[in-house]
This record gives sequence, structure tokens and C-alpha cells, in this order.
Amino acid sequence: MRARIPWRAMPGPTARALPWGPLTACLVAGLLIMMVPAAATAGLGVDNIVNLARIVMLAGALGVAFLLDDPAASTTAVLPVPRLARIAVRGLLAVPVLAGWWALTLAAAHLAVAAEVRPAVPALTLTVEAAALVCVAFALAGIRRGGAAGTVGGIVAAPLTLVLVLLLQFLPDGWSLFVGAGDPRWREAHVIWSVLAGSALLASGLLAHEPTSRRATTRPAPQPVGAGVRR
Amino acid sequence: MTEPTVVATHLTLNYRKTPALADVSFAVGRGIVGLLGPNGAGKSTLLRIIATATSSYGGDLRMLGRDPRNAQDRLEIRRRLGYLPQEPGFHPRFTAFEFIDYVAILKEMTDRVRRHAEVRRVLTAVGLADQQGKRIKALSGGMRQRVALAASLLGDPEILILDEPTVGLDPEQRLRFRELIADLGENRTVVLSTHQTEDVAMLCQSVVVLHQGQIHFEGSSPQLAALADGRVWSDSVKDPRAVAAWRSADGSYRNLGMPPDGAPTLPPTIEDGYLMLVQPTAGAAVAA
Repeated sequence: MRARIPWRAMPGPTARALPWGPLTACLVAGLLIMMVPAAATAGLGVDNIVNLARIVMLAGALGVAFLLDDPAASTTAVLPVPRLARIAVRGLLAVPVLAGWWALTLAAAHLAVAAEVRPAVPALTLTVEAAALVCVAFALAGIRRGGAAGTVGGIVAAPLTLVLVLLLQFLPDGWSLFVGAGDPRWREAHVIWSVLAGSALLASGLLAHEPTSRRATTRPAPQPVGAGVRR
Repeated sequence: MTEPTVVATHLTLNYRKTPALADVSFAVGRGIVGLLGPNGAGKSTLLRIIATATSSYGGDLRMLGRDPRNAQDRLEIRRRLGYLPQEPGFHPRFTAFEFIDYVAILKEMTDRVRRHAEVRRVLTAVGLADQQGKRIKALSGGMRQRVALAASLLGDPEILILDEPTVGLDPEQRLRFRELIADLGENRTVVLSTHQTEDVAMLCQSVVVLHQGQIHFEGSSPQLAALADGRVWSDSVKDPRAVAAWRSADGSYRNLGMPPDGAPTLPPTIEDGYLMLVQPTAGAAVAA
């Protein structure tokens, strides 16, 4: 027996239920971080752009950390459509928005660097980093709290994301994931970023599943409702 | 009693090391069961377990003959269950209709025409048909409570779990609510947690009193009231021996506890019986 998931009916109301406010604020802030230098100068170096892009992707990840905030969670907690489907729909609805935002970020980055170094901007690998951070924030947002439908919410997931990024920032040189564009570990670091993105997605899926007890239980005999005081 | 629809055996649940439920066993069938108890007694915890909102409990639970800890069984239970939580949440920008429609979608109602008819049905049942186009943020607390109640009625569930549903309702709304619940209880199991003893007295065929995570009483409303038989007396002064005493409308004191010799006793209410169970010093009086 499987849940009948109304895939066609869910996106409309789910899109309206999404907490667009925090997400939009973070995406706009991130975009401004990239657009202001782009408007002011067209002579930034590739390393500067890489660093700016990382700040932008952190802003985006912080917005994504709020994506599973749901004020109606207590009312909808025990409905048959599984938590995994609800979380998947929320995530999928944000994908086009995030993709558009990241495309704008890369376009602004492109304008901010000198024409002769534009081909050296590692757009694809930066996209892998951004995707990984967003997936990590999404996974952290899905940490379960308070039973069937509750999550920790952005108020916890966003600081966790920030702390994680700071930890990654301060990893020793040989381990750092935030490597410079010309660093010999660039390729290796981005393999790890890819693995991180995949792992975070997997973690999201696992966290979205409701726990089931495999513990053997005995079938009880019905207890009669007998009147009386129990001490 | 009809065939039990909810059978709990030795349910236990601890919050860290504090027991929220300790060895709770009961069985209920069709009809309305009132769950009484002071704040922190474990009522909401018990209802959350029955509503399949949590599976981290010890002991055994069968609902409609199924085990909620098994994913397949849980799905089937949820299809046949309605749950009004103690603090229902909403999407405030949705209208009442849109919100109930969203809940209906999550209740696997895929056919739009039939779903909308069902949404209108439950909104009418709770008296919100005229308010269905209003945004939830514009509704009063009582109306929001009715929106949540309407959500729990979707799909005509066989088991209805209501956690303090009359909070925030005015007297007229409470009266309407009683009518509605009384009708619903005729052909399904309704588990009703409340602090309103008069709601229990008027609605419930059976009562469970939960205190400090344990069941202290199980029986009918008259049987609960009977616990205070001969323990309620009227006096012109507040009797210091009473476990509870309050000045009534006629100016006399209604004392509860072990009456002095010769004191004229009053017929007890369900509230008196309940107080005899949960007042710290009343246990001895009940035992006596």
C-alpha cells in the first residue's frame, strides 16, 4: 500500500505556503553583493570574483535554510501524503528561482572582471560549490523536531549553515575546500564539493522519512473499559 | 462497549528522564471519550501518540487493528483519522477555503470537484460557510479553531482526536461545537481532551482521567462524579479541612473533602469527582 501523492495539485498551494520572504531577502542581498562591485568596476581579478561568489552562495544557502519553515506543520502533521513528498515539492519549487538567481550572479560576476580574464572565471565549478552549500542548508533545514512533520526551522538551520561554512573556511591548507582559482587542489576540492552536494541530498531524503520502529511488538488483548480509580 | 478502535497497552514515553506517560493502558470503541487531567498530565502527549504524530513510545498501540509504528499501517490509519492539535497552525495568507483545500490535497483527495465539495461540507459543518473566502489572518481565534476543526473532519474520519478544541470559543460557539461533536460521536470514535468538565459531562460516554502521566480513573461521567459522593458540603464559611472550597453564587461555600459530622452534603458534579482525584491532598479522601 502506497500513499497516493497528488503531484499535480500540490505545487500550487505549496508555492503559496513557501516562506518566500527570508529566501527572497537573502537572494537579493547576495545578488547585491555581486552587482555593486560589478557596477562600480570591470577590473576585478578572478580570485576576487571567486571570493565574492562564495559570499553570494552563502547568502543564498542561508535563505534556503528557511525553505522548510511551515507554520501549518502541526495541523498537517499526520496527513497521509508523506513528509518526503512535501519536502521534495518545496525543494523543487525553489530550484527554478535559485537557478535564475545564480545565473544573474554569474552574469554580474562576468561583468565585474576584466574582459581578458573572463574566460578564466570558473563558473561551472563555482556552480557546484553553490549547489553543495544550498543542498547542505536544505538538509539542515530538514532536521526533524517534534514528531511527524516538525523541522528545526531556519532559525536553527541558518546558523548551523553559517557555522559549517566558517568551519570549512578555517580548515588547514591541505584540507581546505575554499581554494583559490589557480590552486593545484582546485579540481580535488570540487570533487569533494560534488560529493558533499550528493551526500546532502541523500541526507535530505533520509531526514524526510518518518522513522518506523522495527521493534517486535506483542499483539495485546483488548483492555475492557472498567470503571474505577486506578492508583 | 463496541469493538475497540484504539487499544493502548503499557504506553510509556519519557522526555529526557522525565516520564510523560507511565504504563498507560486503555481501550476505546465507538462513541466520545473524554480525556481529563491537569496541565502537564500527559494528555497532549497521549493524543499525539494516538494521532500517529510520534512513534517514539514504549508499549503497544493498535488503532483500527493496526500498528502505527509500521509505515503501511500508519498510512492506513492516517487515511481514517482526523486530528485537531492543541495549537493548530495555519498559512495566514490562505483563505479558510484555500487552507482546507490544501489539507484535503495532503489527505490524498485528488479529484478537484469532489475535493471542493468536501471542503464546502466541512466548512458548513463548523459554521464557516459564510467566512470561507476570508483570509485566515483576518479570522478571530475562535474562527481559526473552527478552521482547524474543519480540517480534522475532512474525509469523514473513523477516529477523531481533538486536543482542547473549545479553547478560544465563546459560549455560543461552544454550544455549537457540542452539537457537532455529539453528532460525530454517534458513528465513530472521538477522543476529546479538555479542561471543561461540563463538556465532558454533556458529551462523553466515557472518561479517562490522566494525572502525572498515569491513568487515575476510567469510567463514565456519573461514575467520576460519584467519587465525590458524600464529599461535598455547603457551609457559610470556608472549611480549613476541605481540599478545595469556593464561594458559590448564593454566598455559601462549597467545600470538597472529608465533611465534618452532620454537615449537609450536596450532590457531586463531575468536577468534584475530578478534583478529588487530582488534588494533592484528596487521594486519602477518595481512598476513605
